[in-house]
Amino acid sequence: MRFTANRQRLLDAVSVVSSVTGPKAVRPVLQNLRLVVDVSGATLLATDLEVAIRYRVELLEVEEVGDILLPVAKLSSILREGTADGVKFSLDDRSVRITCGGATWRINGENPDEFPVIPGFDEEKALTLERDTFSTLIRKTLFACAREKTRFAFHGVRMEVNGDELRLVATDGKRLAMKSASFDNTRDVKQAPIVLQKGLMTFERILGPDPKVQLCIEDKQVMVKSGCAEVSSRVADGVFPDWRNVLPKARLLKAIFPRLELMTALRQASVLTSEESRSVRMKFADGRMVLTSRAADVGDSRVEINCTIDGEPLEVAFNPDYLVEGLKNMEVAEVTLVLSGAETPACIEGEENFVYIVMPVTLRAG
Amino acid sequence: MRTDPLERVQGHSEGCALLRSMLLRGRVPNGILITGPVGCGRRTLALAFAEALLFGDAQGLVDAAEQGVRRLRQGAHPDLVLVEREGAKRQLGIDSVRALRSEFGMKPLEASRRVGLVVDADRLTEEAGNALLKLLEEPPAGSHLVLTAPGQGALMETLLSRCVRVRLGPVDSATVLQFLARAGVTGPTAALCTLAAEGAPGRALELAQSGFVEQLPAAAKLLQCEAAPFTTALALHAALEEDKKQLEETRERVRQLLRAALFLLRLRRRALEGLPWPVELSPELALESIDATSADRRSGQLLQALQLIDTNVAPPQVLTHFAMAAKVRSQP
Repeated sequence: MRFTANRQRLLDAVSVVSSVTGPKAVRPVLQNLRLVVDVSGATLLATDLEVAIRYRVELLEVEEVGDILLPVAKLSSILREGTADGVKFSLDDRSVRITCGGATWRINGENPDEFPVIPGFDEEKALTLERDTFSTLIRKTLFACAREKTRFAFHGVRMEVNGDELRLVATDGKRLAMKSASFDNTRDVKQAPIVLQKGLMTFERILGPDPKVQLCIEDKQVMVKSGCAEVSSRVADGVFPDWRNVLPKARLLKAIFPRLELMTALRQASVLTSEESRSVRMKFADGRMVLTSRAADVGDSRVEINCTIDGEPLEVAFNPDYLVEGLKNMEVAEVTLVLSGAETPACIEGEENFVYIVMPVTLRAG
Repeated sequence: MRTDPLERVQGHSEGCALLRSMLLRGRVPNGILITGPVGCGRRTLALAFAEALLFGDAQGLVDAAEQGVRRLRQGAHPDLVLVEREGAKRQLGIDSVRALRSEFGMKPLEASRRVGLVVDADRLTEEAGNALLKLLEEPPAGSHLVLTAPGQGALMETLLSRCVRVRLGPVDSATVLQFLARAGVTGPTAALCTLAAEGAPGRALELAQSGFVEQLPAAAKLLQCEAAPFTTALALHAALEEDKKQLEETRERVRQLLRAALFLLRLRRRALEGLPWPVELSPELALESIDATSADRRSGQLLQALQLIDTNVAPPQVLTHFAMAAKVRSQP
């Protein structure tokens, strides 16, 4: 293997690829990236067995093709420390000599056969959608996933493709975010895998200037192709709750708020809540909502906000953080809070094709 | 050509037959515990079983040329999660079991099921054992956990109750000798290591590769050091200590020396009982000055010394303590 590359371009590629390896990789071999050089350029491959990435880079000159595993961290440092525009690689047995300006490094590589197989993107099964639509779907749902991996199905986002609709749903058991968009389901795909959080984050990271993104949804993995990058993510094995059962059945009260004012009021009231009891009580009556909160041994708060109420007077309590996170991800001036009872799920509506559901906190006396 | 991976495992026909019958009936339990002496081939059997489970056809046969099989043998298959101690670590911690749980939270990538292999499950910390128990209690569909351990004694009762046991015994000497010959170990070294390993091929190979036979003269010296116990013990320690900073390595070499001495005493006992010698030994290793009573007494002292080295007593102190005790007891 012998080639010359633009240092900055190669460094950018290594930086993207290195995000799916990590110091705590399960197997030492995964701390490497696979560098495959062919006559028309190089492909960088990396995986942590959860997410895998293929990144295509153009090279300045290829003298000899080749294939080798190189430690990501060292390669990244070498490219960062290099000063010249061009960087030259030459492979001698398992050792790679890298020359950049007046500096030369020699790093030991490993046998590429030891690296897991990273599947290529299957163009024949690909669906195409707008990059901005895909990015919005991810951004508006990913935040609602469970951070911990204790319930694996909640650690990912369910990606439903049905007819001409793509719907992403995420929940951590206390709130649920769902965003859908229509697209041209040319291949009549019908799947609903649970894509892991890290996979979605990597999907979003690789989205380049290309206005279209290609998506390939299978039972065991989901792949995305954008520009010169292809990412595949494994899917979680588990049962995802049926969001249809979580939607509020009854609509006892509807309250319409200016979104930003509601966020401000919730933040004000949340100042005096404690870690142990992170709840804000809401009382609806006479065209206004009164928010109250209390932190034991610290103090209490009361915030009033005008709103348009339709329904019976009701008292309910929520974790303010969950409400604020949902409101932050909406892009409308007014939102409607729909309550179905003090202990049943509430829904925030307003933005088209976006549903955010929150479970109330149990009300205590006083 | 399709072959049976379990046939690669030699000397454990009963264990192989039990695992094979699970495969053929298509009824493989979610938890399997393979027990047997250290170095007897528990891990090898577990890996062969995992291969048959992931790639086997209805007869449990696999195609060795298949890429997945090749990668599994290299330890790089995504649907086989190997949990074992790193380097010199004595315990298996919670992190490795968490990694296993994460892997089991995903659908298998290439095969239709997943296998988690926990090597030396007796070394799991309590926290790690409890985390593993959760996986055994609620195993994801299509997942199998294979645990290995020298015995069931150190395993949590709750783990035991959720696993089907496969017991392996010692392997006969001829099989161990064949195994060593394939690894290029033959002659007196092979015979001595086979005898010392007591039916554990892996242990025999480890002994051959760690210079066990070369350590026997030093072990004989330690056992016959009444004339100058202190200086002999210190001289032996100095020879074993290659680098003062590498205390753990020195400790391991002293441990090996004590085990070699224990083995020589076993041979001496055989000679005193009139049993045939397995190999021609040089006179210096025959320990002819040691009678049955003192052979037993010194064996006890060696076991005590091995306990001391495991409890972090400094290696020179362990050796001098053993040598001095032997002198005191040998005086009339």
